[in-house]
Amino acid sequence: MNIEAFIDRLFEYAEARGLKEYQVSYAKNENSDIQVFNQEIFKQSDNTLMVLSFAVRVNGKIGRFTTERFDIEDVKRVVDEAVANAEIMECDEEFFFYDGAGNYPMVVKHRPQVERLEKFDKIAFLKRLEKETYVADKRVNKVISTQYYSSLSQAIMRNSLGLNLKDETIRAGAYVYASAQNGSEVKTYGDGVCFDKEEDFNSKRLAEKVVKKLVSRLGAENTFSRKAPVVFENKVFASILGSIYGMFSSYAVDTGKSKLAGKIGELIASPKVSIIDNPWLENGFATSAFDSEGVPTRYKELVKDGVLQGFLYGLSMAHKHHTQSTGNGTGGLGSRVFNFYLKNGTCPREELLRKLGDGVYIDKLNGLSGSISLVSGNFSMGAEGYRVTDGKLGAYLNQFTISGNIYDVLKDIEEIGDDLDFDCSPLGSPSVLVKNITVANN
Amino acid sequence: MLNKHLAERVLLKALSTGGDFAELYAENSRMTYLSMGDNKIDGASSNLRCGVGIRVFKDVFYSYAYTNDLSEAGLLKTAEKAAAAVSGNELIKNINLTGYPFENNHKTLINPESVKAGEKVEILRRASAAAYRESSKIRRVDAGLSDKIQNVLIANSDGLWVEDTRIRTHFNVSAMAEDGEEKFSLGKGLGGLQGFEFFQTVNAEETARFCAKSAVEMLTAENCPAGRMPVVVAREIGGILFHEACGHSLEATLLAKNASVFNGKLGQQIASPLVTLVDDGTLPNLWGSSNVDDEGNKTRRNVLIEKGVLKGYLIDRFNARKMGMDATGSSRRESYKIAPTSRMNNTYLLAGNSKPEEIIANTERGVYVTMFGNGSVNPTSDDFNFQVKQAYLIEDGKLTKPVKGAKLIGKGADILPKIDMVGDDLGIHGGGHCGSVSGYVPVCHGQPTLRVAEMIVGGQK
Repeated sequence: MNIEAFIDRLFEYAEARGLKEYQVSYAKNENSDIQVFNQEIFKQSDNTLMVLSFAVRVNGKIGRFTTERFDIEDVKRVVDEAVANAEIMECDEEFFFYDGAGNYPMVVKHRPQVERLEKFDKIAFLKRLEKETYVADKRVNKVISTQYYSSLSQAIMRNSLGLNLKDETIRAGAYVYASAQNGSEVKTYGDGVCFDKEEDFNSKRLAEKVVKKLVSRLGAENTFSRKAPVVFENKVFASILGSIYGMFSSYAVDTGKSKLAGKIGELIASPKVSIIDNPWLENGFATSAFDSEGVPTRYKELVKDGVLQGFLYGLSMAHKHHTQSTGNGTGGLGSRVFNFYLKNGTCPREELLRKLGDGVYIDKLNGLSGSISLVSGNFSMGAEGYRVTDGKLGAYLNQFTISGNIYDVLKDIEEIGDDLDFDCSPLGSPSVLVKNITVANN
Repeated sequence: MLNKHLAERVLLKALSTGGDFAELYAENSRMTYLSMGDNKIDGASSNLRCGVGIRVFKDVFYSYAYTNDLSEAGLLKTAEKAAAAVSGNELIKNINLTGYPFENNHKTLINPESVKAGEKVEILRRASAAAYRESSKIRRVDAGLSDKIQNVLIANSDGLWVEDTRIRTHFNVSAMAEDGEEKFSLGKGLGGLQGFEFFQTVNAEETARFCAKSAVEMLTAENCPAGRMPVVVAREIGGILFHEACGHSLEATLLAKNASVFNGKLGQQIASPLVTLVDDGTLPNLWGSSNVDDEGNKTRRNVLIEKGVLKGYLIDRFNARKMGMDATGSSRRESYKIAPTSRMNNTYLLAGNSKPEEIIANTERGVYVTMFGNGSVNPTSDDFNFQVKQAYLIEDGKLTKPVKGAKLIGKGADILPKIDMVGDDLGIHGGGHCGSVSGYVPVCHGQPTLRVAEMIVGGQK
């Protein structure tokens, strides 16, 4: 049935049941992808998905039911079960809906060049991309995959307090992943574009960028086990930021799962470090005027010159701590971030390597997900990168491990590069130089 | 979910542009989740997932389209989208969906829908309380209970018509211990292809106590030494070693592109003769099992490595075409939103002859791993990595102290021949999800206690 009609029925039934506060979040997503392998289309897909989440507030608690089926017979079940879910909640925290008051900022979200893409021959692009990847260097032995994807998401959020918001997100991108061989040694590398700039339409540029990185990984050596200074390449450190933003969550702090409890106003990182959550970033991948609770977003420096400024709050945790939501709500106890990045530094790459002296330049992490315990800060993960001797990049190193404590790493950042990059993601960072990481392979 | 007549019309529409095979996968899944933090329910949600995915093959190309508009018009439109990527003369004009009989090997005794929420809460409450009781150093306990009833219908242009219901129950608990500045958190998840009777065999309280006890013990753990050393891996949990070190590389996804380290190695000795590795989707009520795979073929026991010799791959219908081999009943997908491909079900190493205690006694200095975290592998370069959550140092053949912060890395081809002792204590563990090209699917892995003569251990010392 028609989704608007379904929502109307949900609200009618909720009202008839005597419920006072309820909310609907609905998203329609249309997405497609094309893959080319060996100069032929290997896979093509074209999809539509609609998801609706109904939430209800009963006795200060919120219960939810998420559904992909919009039959009129489901209305009663969706509402009743959401109520039952609210009624079973026991925690001390109270939960709230937002009434839509307050000023929503005007924001400019990331948007690929849609008009141009409509006329763009994606299959020809992928075929060229595959061919150019092979041609770029004879050591490329396999272009494992090439892919083009696009999606359009339209979301609405409506509640009984008067909130009524709409949002639209468009994505498009292409990706190539290849391997190179030298004797028995095989290395892989992949990278992509997101079609928001002219150069993204140049398949050769992407192919050559990937192959340059790929073949530089051949002839790899083993490293040795020791403590060493390390440069994390910008996008590698950005991915680390993506794994640790939870340390700023007020809920994590409350439950002892972040070691930042009680440290507002204290130096928790090198004075060179500022960490920013910026939902208003122009053309940002996570740019949004409101959070998942419909609360207007805010720009915030969580860490300024190494000093912790504050934590992330949604409505529930803000109420518990007698403060305002920071516009980082998820609808539950946790919090989310938007465009989340380390503020750019001033040190050029050559200078960063010179300051590193003898150590390791890391351009890939393996098994990052779940590797960093925010409770203790300890981490240990697989990594790849180059040996650096006398400030110069040397041979690639076979997979090694790096380990340390993330809270110490923040303090041990000695220098910050001038190459802040978001690389088609909401996470950004310049390259950073960190002392004292344990590197092991031998 | 769909009647045969409509399914036939949808499949014919999908084939109208010259496809040589079409498949329809309809899913209606119902999920509930309860979470408890600090002895109180802090999350309750329900979810209904419902939709259809349509695949069309033409030689070694496939197109895919999904929708959750299940009206006749919605389904036909989706079939048209899948057909649009194919061009040629119509090859198949008739389909007669008949289906085949199969026995339900995974009987469910208590349907989770019949269980009152209060009973589920009680499981969480008891588990949580047990963890807190274990030690005054336990600062925080979180636990969760979820169940899923997945109804699937698979129909294809060969006339296959299969309907199956998969009921899964999952329990997870984590305990955080604290002593002054030191903190350690440790959790465990367990799942079965079972209803609420899952809790008759799985003791949630015992699992919670184990996590609490381990977290407290790990507070005193020293940093793990780094370097190359023998690694003894405890039964059950160590199966993830094989899952990553060779399981993924034996899936057809990369083999079909000749991009796996194991291409062309069938019949060759790739592992120590002590290694016999099996992937079996038929084991009754195990988390990674099912009656039929997501292409509607009966699951089966696939021997991957026998006495160190590579015997077989895991192959789905599409890649079977590319590889010129048969499908192995192990094609899987997270949901109708992702096309299926070959994946592991329950992967385990068969038992050997050594006693677990003699494996440790025979190790002069090394690490004994009793719990892994996440792991991943690059099946092309063969580099794998695993997070170690809990481990002990072995010194002079004895377990001496807990160590933390370790990571194991290496190449599958390097470590498989280095397995030099295999215990007689096979155990299979289930509760995790494996993420790959067709999404997250429930898997089990298992093994007896074993020793790898030398591995790279990453630690902070």
